[in-house]
Amino acid sequence: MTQPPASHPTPPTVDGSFIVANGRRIQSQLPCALEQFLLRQKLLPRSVVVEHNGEAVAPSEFSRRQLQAGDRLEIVKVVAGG
Amino acid sequence: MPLSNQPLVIAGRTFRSRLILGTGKFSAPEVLRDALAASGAEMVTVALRRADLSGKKDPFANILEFIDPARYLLLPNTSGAMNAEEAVRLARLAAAAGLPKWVKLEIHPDPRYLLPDPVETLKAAEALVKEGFTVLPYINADPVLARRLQDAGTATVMPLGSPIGSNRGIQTRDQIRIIIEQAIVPVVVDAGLGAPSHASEAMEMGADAVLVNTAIAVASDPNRMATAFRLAVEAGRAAYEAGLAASQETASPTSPLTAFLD
Repeated sequence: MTQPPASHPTPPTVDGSFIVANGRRIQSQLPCALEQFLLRQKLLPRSVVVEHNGEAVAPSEFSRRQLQAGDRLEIVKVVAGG
Repeated sequence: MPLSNQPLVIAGRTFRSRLILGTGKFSAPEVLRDALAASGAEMVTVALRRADLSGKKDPFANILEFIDPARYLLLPNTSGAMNAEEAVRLARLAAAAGLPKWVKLEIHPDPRYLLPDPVETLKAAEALVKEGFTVLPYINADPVLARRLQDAGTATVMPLGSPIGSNRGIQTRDQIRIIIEQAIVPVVVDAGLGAPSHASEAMEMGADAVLVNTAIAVASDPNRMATAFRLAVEAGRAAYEAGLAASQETASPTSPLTAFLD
């Protein structure tokens, strides 16, 4: 996978909660379900695969898996390749 | 199938086609879909990449809409992995997505030649076989590495003909011959096959299958090129099964060796 870009300073918010998704800090209301987080990012949950804190998560588990502040996600899609 | 070649068996699964298609570099997903149908391939590779979180539109966004998983076996590759650990993570992600636990193991950190790292590949193969994956490892044409991988339980070995996308054909033929001679699993020549004649050559040498991507994807008529490769693979395999004549240095006459009016 590509190296993550330099991290951006966290802008001040009410709850200051963020997770790291694909190497970027993303603000979100936490805790929340993984599925909710994906929808907030305008991603179709069934089109991605997710690694949550180093563990691969099946799409059937997205609604049950809870995200906490500071969690790390790798959100990955099936793409063309040889 | 007019040539009635023997079927290919990988990890207990039977395939009529000995051409595996890579899905990269096509100009549009519809072009990929049509070329795939023309190729007769039954197994296709796909890759895994970080989803774009910026909201940009991508025509290849849902490639699975163009490749019917009921019709084709999807073979996720681990391209992008820099080492064994990343390759294993990618394979687990593919399995979590519901893809069958087959993986094309490819670890090539150097972008100039994209040559596969043998040490990381062997490490990853051992780990993935233990986790129940059907592992198809992409390697340089190293016969010793090929044996080590087969002993570790990989389902095939996939030696390169020449670097990915180089279209230079089979530059590694002597090594591939040794691999084929010593193999206990199917041998798939993968990478660098730039013309149907290269694919035929691989099959005539006794390879069990070939994997082709660039040569078909970048052709001005990918459908036609896919058909050409399909025919070449069938022809090469038929020749191999029919028993190729041995080559020799001197002539051997085909007409009687007497003067015309003797």
